[in-house]
Amino acid sequence: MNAAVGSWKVSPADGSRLALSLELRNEGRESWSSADGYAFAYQVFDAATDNLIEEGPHAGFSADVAPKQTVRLDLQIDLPGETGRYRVFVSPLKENVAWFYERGSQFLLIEAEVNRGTVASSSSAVSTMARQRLKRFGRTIGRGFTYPFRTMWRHRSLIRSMVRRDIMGRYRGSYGGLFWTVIHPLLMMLTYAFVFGVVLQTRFGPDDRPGNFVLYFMAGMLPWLALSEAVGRAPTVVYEHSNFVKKLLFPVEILPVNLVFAGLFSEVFGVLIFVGGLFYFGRDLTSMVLYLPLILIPQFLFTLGLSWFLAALGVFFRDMGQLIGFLLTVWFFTTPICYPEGQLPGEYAWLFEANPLYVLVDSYRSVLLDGVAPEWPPLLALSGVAIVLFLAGHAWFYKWKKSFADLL
Amino acid sequence: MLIANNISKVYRIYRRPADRLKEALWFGSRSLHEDFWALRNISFEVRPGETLGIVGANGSGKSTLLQILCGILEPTTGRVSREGRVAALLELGAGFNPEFSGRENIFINGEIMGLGRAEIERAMPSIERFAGIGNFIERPVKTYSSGMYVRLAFSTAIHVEPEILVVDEALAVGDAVFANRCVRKFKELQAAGVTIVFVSHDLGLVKQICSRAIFLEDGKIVEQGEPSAVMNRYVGTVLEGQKAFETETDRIKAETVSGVDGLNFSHRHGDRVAEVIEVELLDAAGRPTRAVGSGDPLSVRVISKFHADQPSPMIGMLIRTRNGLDVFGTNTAIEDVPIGPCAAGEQVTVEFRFECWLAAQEYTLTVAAQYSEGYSHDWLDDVITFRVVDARPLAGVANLHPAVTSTKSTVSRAEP
Repeated sequence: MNAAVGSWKVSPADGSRLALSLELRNEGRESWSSADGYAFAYQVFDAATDNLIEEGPHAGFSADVAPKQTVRLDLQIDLPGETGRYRVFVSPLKENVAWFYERGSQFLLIEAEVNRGTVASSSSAVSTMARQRLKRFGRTIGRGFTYPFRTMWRHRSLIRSMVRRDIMGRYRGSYGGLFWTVIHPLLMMLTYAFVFGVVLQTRFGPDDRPGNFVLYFMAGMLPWLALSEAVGRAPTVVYEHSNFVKKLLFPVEILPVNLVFAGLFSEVFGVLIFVGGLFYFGRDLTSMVLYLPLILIPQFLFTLGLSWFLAALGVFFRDMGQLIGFLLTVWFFTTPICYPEGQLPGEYAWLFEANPLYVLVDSYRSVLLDGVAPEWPPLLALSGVAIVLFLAGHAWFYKWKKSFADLL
Repeated sequence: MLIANNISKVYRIYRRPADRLKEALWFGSRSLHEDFWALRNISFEVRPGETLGIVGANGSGKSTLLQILCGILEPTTGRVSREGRVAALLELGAGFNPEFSGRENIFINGEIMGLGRAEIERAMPSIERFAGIGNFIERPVKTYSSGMYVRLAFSTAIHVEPEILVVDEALAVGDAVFANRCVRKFKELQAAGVTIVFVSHDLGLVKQICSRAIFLEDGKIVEQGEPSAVMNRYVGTVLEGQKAFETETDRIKAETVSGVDGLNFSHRHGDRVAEVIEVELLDAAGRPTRAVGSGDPLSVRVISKFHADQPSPMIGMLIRTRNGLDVFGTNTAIEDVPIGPCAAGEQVTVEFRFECWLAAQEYTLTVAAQYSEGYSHDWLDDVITFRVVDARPLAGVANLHPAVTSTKSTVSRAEP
């Protein structure tokens, strides 16, 4: 089943109709005979979604077309009248077997734009399915680069109010209210500080000023607070919003974005507590703190990419919701947050060297405590990883998004 | 403007959710699913100001179709063109957070539907007025009754100024007052050129507000066009299904009087000297029907067979409501159209023709062949179930189709 497209001519007819005259050469071994079910026709696809919309009538060949023989065909193509862009495949087919183009044969591709019942423009070219797949892949990649940003820009006001709603709603109905946003990280930090600083006598470096451990520990906790909150909730977030997926016209891809912002919000409180502690122990912030936003960018991208990935995965594997708590605990303790990295034996050094979280922890400590600029090479490496994860995470989420409604 | 062009939807049924991922990892070289066609080749067009009603049994694909129309689901083939903002009311209060007050939820829902805060602020008084839930607007939504929930959600949805409104079974929960208000609002929206798609099991409502209707069965359009015609077809199908179900149940129940000649009945008695062998309900064109418009011509045909000579038998009919109230009964003697003496082996066909001035609800037909004294040869209770449909929500059982006039005059009261 192979055909070669010779010369052709597409001309607009009345309304949304195209007239096509086309030369096809039989490049296969079998002769095209209507009796054997050979015919030719066209299919109209939606250019935006690649969905098949309609199939034209199958026309038989008036006479058998032997191999290497050329046949001239005339047909009319009826495009849908609705405004939009359409892709038309014109190809021979064998009834109940396949379209030639599905078997790798050449076919004529017509791209047409219809505007309120009339063909506004059309272009045509010889193509193959392989070429189409490549183009589709290119489009996917192109979308992969633009869509994540478009998502966040287009829905910025919705994201803002969803985050607000999330934060306000979190402790709604409890007596502590918004206060818990501060108390929760504070209590957690105090507990860890007690266990590691007081009981286990952990020390960071030779510096033995009071509060040294607490401050180091808190600085390291800050990125963790934001990351763990977003990543920990990501696997269940779609499931928890199944109503939004199935019953509302809602951009589901912003749900993980909301989590990341909510996590950052918690971090802001953490920073306030930290700064309070810093002043309490008689230290000052240096101008290096101005690097913090620069660290936040890869942190944000990394967290969001991971959240997108896990959010989609969580729809397929409900177990992710249970698993993630455990994974996060492991991640927390293998990252030198509550102990100095020097305490890790050499053979475990990879634990923090290859750990994106540690890059953040270390950078936070540099700018907030040590008053030095963050170490650039690991931060740049992290930024690279973060951007890839961000784009890939969104692409992954976007790919599976269509199935969510069927699954929940 | 909403156009569906050749919409089909295939659900891939996987035994486990993970199979879906697995299949993707095999790049289609292994198939781990079964296809289920929820919709097949659905095409229609709804113009601004038009309202399309969709009816169909549960599982016929209505909800899937609505989800595709709003863009929540992707169709497998075909294309939906939408012009303008879409508001979807698939489940009332789907985006509501129970902990938040009504007012806060209006903001959230409005924003989800694409309005800015300022726009919502502007619409707020009108939303509150339409919802009519008073001070509850400041209370958490979790304290609402389901009716109040519906009021608030519906009110929010119609105030986002949609160009296309898609509503699924929305008004079923509200009380009569609110339902009425919604109908009026629908009419207003129609006049304003809003495109509405509407799913309901309330056939009267569909007839009342829709300009066109679609009857879906097994994901396919069975009938499309004039609402009353579509409703009749739908009701006919539903009742057939019901009848089949009842026959089945009856058979299982007691192998009842061995459902002889294909007649269904809830009870049968008589000496069978004359036997009713066929009962049919016919419309004006003489076609069997199970749905009739209020006031439409209807005829009841009873065919009975005599096994012995009878001097003056009579044939009667009785219409009852579903809950057993006798609505109207007569027979050939009362009507003074005697069928005369009948000989053994003779078959008599009697037709009662009348205009069916009943109110919209479900009725049953009971028929009998009797002695002139009233004893039964063959009496069959509830042989046919049929439905009277009417766009107007009349009260009661009868439709007295009154001619209404009104006059006005000014009374001057300062006559000395």
